[in-house]
Amino acid sequence: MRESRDFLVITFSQTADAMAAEKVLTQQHIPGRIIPIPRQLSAGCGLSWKTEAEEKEKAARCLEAAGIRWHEMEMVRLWV
Amino acid sequence: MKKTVNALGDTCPIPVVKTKNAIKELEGPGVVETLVDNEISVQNLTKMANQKGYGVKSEKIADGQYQVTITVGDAADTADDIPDECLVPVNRKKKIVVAVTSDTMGSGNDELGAILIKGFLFALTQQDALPSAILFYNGGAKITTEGSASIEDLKSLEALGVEILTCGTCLNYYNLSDKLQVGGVTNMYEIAEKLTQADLVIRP
Repeated sequence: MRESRDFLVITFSQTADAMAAEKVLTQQHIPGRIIPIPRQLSAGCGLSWKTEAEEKEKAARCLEAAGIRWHEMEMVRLWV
Repeated sequence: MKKTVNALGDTCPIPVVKTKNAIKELEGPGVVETLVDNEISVQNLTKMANQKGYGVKSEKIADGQYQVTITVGDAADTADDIPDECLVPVNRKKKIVVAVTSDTMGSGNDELGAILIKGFLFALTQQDALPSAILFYNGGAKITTEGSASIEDLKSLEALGVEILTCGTCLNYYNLSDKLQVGGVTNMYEIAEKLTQADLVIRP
């Protein structure tokens, strides 16, 4: 059966920021992964970080510490 | 004589059955106009008319509304021996095969290419229409094996019925034969068969 649920999606203005975020967040063992920005958030081309809602604060702190600017943090329903 | 058949909301074979009955009721030359709401029914009625040698024309009269006009001439057969079958299968799914030929997507920069192929495979999991198979060969073999970031996505696609197949020769060449994490191992005959039998091959 196919199941969908809400995920936290962090978007970036620059592809390079998303790639840098992937490195930092993976090093900090924050569960999640790079995905193309879901259609619900942007029609444009870009990358985002998909993770669980409860990782929001931790992810924000890590990104701030690394000086990586994100664009938005949104909840998006995705196929699991 | 002219008859009108309303087959809106009906799926095959109902529009064909209703039209056939109307043709019978003509008891000779005449015209039957059938209203249907889908393209498949238009195709079925058209094929049926062509088979029987009736004149046929169809037009879209509104969104989701088509009129098929069948003209039965003097010389036409009776409608009795028209089979009540769906000549055009309903909802026949297009067979989509994805061929992943490298561990990157596009060319230019391989670091970016690796992120793009990862993103593409994730985006596949989010599609309504899924491919029937994904083939991995040459550098693509690295994507179904240990250390790949796409294993999770490929496993969920496999669970949804998508066949995941990796070229055995390629696994062997890259020393990855014992590192396969998802799907099965295949050979060139099956790869050639899948590619030739596909309605659509996508090479990301």
